[in-house]
Amino acid sequence: MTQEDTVQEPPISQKWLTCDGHQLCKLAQAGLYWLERNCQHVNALNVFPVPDGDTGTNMLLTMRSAYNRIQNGDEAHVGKVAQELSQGALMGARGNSGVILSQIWRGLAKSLKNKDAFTTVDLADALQEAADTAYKGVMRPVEGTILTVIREGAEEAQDAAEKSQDLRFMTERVLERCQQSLARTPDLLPILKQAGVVDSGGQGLVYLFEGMLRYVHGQLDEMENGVVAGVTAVPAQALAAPEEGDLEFPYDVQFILMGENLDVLKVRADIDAMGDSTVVVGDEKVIKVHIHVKDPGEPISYGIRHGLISDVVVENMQMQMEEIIQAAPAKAGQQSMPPSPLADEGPVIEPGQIGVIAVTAGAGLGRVFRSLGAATVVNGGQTNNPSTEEIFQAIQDVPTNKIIILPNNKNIILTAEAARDLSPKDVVVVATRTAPQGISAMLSLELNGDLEAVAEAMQEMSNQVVSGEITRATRSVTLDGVAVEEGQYIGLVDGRLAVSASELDELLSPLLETMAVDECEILTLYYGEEVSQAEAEAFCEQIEALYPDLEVELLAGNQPHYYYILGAE
Amino acid sequence: MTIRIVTDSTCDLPAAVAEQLKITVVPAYVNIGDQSFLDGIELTRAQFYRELEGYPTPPTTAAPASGAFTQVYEQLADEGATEIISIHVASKLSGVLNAARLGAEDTEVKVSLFDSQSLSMGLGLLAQVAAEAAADGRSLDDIMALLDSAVRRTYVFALLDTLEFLRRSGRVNWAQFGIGTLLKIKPLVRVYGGVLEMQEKIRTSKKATEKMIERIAELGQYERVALLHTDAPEEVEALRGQLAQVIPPGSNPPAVLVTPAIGSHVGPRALGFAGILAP
Repeated sequence: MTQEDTVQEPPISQKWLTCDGHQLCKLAQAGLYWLERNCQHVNALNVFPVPDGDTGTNMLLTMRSAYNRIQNGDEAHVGKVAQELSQGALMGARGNSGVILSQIWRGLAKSLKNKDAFTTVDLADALQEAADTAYKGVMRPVEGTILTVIREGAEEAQDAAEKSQDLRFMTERVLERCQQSLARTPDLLPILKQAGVVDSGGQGLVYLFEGMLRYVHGQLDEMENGVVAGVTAVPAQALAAPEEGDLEFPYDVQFILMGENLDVLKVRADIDAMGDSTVVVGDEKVIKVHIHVKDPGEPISYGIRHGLISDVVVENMQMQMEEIIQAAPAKAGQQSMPPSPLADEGPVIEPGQIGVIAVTAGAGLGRVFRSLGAATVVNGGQTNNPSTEEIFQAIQDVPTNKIIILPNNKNIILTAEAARDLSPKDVVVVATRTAPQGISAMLSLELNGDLEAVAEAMQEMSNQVVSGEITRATRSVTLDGVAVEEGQYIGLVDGRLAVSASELDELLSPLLETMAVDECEILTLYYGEEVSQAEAEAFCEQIEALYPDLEVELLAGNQPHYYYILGAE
Repeated sequence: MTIRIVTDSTCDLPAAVAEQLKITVVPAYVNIGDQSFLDGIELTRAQFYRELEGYPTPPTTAAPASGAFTQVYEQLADEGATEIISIHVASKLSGVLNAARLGAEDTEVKVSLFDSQSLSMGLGLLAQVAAEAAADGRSLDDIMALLDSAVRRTYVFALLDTLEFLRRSGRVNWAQFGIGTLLKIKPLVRVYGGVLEMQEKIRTSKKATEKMIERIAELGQYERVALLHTDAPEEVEALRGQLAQVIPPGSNPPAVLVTPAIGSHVGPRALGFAGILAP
């Protein structure tokens, strides 16, 4: 924002009374561009001094997925463009803010559905619907967040619509109100005030609107189509690919099916019968189809029989995989690879059993979940929230209709719930907030039990462990009454900042005290990817010296960012 | 008419009880290294558990030879038995019943085979039920009906201190149980209807014992019970105190050191309970 703005020919004429599909497409592109430019700033607004869920990245990936749907289109009908944006956001949503952003697009799309172009009155109504939908997207709406920003923005739009028919006037007013609302978020949410920041999700939304308005004013410098380096999504397919061998279903087929009165559930079932990795989402008019098959002609013919198809993509995954395998030795060292769902001793889930999907970062933690009976592990954690689509994909891939999701992170609970709502399967989210909680919950899993009863038992079991996490502060802050300097070691207990210290050794004793381990029998210590086994063993000995009666169990978690994750029970 | 009861050494009946009720116990084999021992005869239990963790290769067990059963049946017939009830460890868990069946086919003696669908003192208590009824002069049909009823009320619980031994016994689909090698877990297992089931997976001893007591007590009133352990004499006496509510008044159930035939799968320091619910 400090940069000089290049004033261009205003792309939208002075009298802007209606906005059509082409214009909305440009606005979305501008919003995406401005969000990309400012993504790192949004990331830096993490409320917690730990490496948080990368709100900016999550919103950006969500918005990019939305824009990708309309990028190459030439649709003049604004309702249809909004619908595409909504579908794209829905599939790409990751992180809490991403899910809320996708709900905003969903509300807009619903309200604009039948409009060729929208007026100020239409936009005001659509923003109201967007705000309402966003609130419904969260279990317990919290003020002082992106929700407040969109709600107040929508209020302003109502007011502006009574005063003028000029969309420029309205969008300026809405942006200004959103900025004010954002500035007031620390007054509404004490945790923000403590940390001295505004809400990151709200900031992301403001950047999105700001980019749109800059486009209206011709103040966006060089709009590029390229991607911003350093922020790339790992496609779910790459994570799910088997390590070697021939693929049973070598063709990846994607297309959009358009028709009248389409039955999503029926299309999903029909498509699913053709192969695996099915994703079929949409509504009665537009359905996105994704499937891995032996014969790409089969789903495409099906699509043509039921309507019009577009955006057909057919990829030979066998060839892609061989290229990846050939290229693999060139990759230096072992990056934190997602836990392989196949190369371990976990169960093979059969139809009718309960399939648990555990979200976790670190191969070691993944193995623990698998060994306790999880059907599959979705790679994701504090700085790498999985998308709704990745979790949805995992739900579809597990060959049973009874699914329990363990998010194992508070920032992933909403995404898991969004994936649950998309799936026709019986899915329960057991809202675990830490890896030890999830692992504890796994002990109550009965593969052949009743889904609801097992989920309840798992929820209860997850509360029987005290979780500790040790990492470094990414910024200076005072939170939960604890003052932290950037770079200091910090200890969290059940997700709350509890202790800080300059040396790891100094942190240990007060952390264990806060965790009340003197009342516990076993402490399980999962060491992260940045810790060597020798260091972890030495750390273990320190704990045993402090608590001679405590049984300490040491396991390689391989998790990023957290040096140690502790579970005491 | 004289009815005699035959069982196998996995029943864990104290020798004095077996002798008093005239129950004939056919020993199973316990193989340690390249040596084979007759359970309870050539190998004492105390000795086995003392050395269990030190054995270089895990001990294995084998059913008695069918010929051993033939011999026992014929000997009992010579002593005047007109009917024999041969009751054994769950056929889903062991080949003993099959050996007994083959043994019975090789003799003219009339043998009624019965699958206890249980093990250890679960089997022992059922053999006791049959022997007491036989001593009361009940008919073969009566006793078999009695067993049919009692077997449906017979439960055995075991709280394992380590998974190591059960894992390498190869008798359980661990992946389906959701018990990996990574975390130390104390499984509470139950045998009922011939099936070994995981009841709870617990990480701390205190909660583990609480859970076992809860699972035992929630089933109802018991008419016969026994306590089991694999070399944990103090813990099993503590368990006796904690289980006072389910022990039938006036009875003084034995605390039995479990046969090596089972102990080699369960490992040391396990606690257990066998009981037949009141009808």
